Amino acid sequence: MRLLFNLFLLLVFREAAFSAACCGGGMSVPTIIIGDDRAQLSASYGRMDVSVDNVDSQGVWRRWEQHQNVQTLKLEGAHIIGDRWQAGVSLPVVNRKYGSDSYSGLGDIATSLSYEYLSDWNYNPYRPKGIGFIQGIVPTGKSRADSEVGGLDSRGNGFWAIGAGTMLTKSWSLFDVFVMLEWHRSFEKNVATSTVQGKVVPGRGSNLGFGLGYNWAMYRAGFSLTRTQEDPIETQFNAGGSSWQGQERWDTMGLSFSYLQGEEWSWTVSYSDQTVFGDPLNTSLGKSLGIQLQHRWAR
Amino acid sequence: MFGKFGFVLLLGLQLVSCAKPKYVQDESIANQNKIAQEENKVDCSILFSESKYCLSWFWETKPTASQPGSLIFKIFRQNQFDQTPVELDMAQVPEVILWMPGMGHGSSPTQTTRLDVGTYRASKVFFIMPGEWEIRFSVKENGQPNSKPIDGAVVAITI
Repeated sequence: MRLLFNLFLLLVFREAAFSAACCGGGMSVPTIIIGDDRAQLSASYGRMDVSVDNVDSQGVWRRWEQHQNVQTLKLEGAHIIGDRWQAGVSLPVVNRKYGSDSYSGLGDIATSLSYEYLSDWNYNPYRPKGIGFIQGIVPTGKSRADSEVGGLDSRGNGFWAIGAGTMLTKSWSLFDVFVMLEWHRSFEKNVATSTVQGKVVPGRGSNLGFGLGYNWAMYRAGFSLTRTQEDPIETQFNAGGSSWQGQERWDTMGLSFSYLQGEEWSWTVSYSDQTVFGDPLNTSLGKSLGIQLQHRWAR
Repeated sequence: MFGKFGFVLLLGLQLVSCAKPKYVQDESIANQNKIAQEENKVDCSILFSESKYCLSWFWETKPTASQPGSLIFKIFRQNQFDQTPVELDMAQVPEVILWMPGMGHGSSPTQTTRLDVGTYRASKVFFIMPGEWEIRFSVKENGQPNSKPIDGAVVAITI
């Protein structure tokens, strides 16, 4: 039974879809093997519908009669490279639609290196498993700063970025919990569009989340809540002057239902909603539905 | 006889009453002129940063969530004598750029055409989301999108 719970913990993060609804902002948590497997490979599909088109710097929510929707197809893999070390990669393909306009392409590729610094002792009721990670983002997705259509064709942050964080997990009887902290720093880039010729200077950002799950038979039901925030981004125009984007902030609530098909396969259906909790700023808010199939290889 | 005549005369005068003349007053004419001048004055609250020319604008067709709109804008200076508007052309046809400062992005490019002296139409004006936007009227060195801006004015609006 303990083994099953550990396997279920693999599914914890399927609830978490942290990206900003409108323009691909934010940074996701890396692909990590939390159980005792040698490797894992996941394929997921998610669709996010923007339901609040804009939340301004005063926290005022605005809706229009027409909304964007974003579909993401993602392949994620992780493999152990040592007793406590593992590497992961995530390859998303993003499609964004607004009215009759549709844009598709590769999103930002994320790579990660993780280390299990704290082992879970089953006999200890308090000590969690702790995994620390660093990750790098390759800006293969178009950012809203590079967009000629106001970010409708954006597929990611579009900045080189590095991040570090930790995830703590623990299970008791039928319940499991996790806490996740992630911090990242994005780097400036030059842009030359019809709107902006200059430099876009992003800053730091973070994800802080927690979640809990209830496990029975071969199923798990989970809940999670994550706060994401990004520093103000400065746009420096070549001609002089600059424009500051306000701090971006939103909270994502996730619900998930997982089915463990043997010890190697699992299915997860997840729902996330950014309109339920928190006091968002300078962002759009969406609701998403996703499905994931995961395969694992035992050590 | 005189008494009756006098009585009728007095009665007549009583009915007519005293005259209350309303002479034309120089002060009133001056006031009217002042009002007329004020009416002819134009709002010059939106200024180009370099030339200090004034800008006024209005929606010709207001954009919606699915349809682009168009706006008409005029560039003028104030007549030094009575502050009435004097339309004038800029060195290049101004570019109209839509910018959302809170989100750090623009929108799709607009198209500007000259209609008459100092009068322009910006079409394909489309906002990808509601919120606080800026309409930036930018005059560029060679009139090319990537050339250096030499003058500009900004209008903040809420969509």
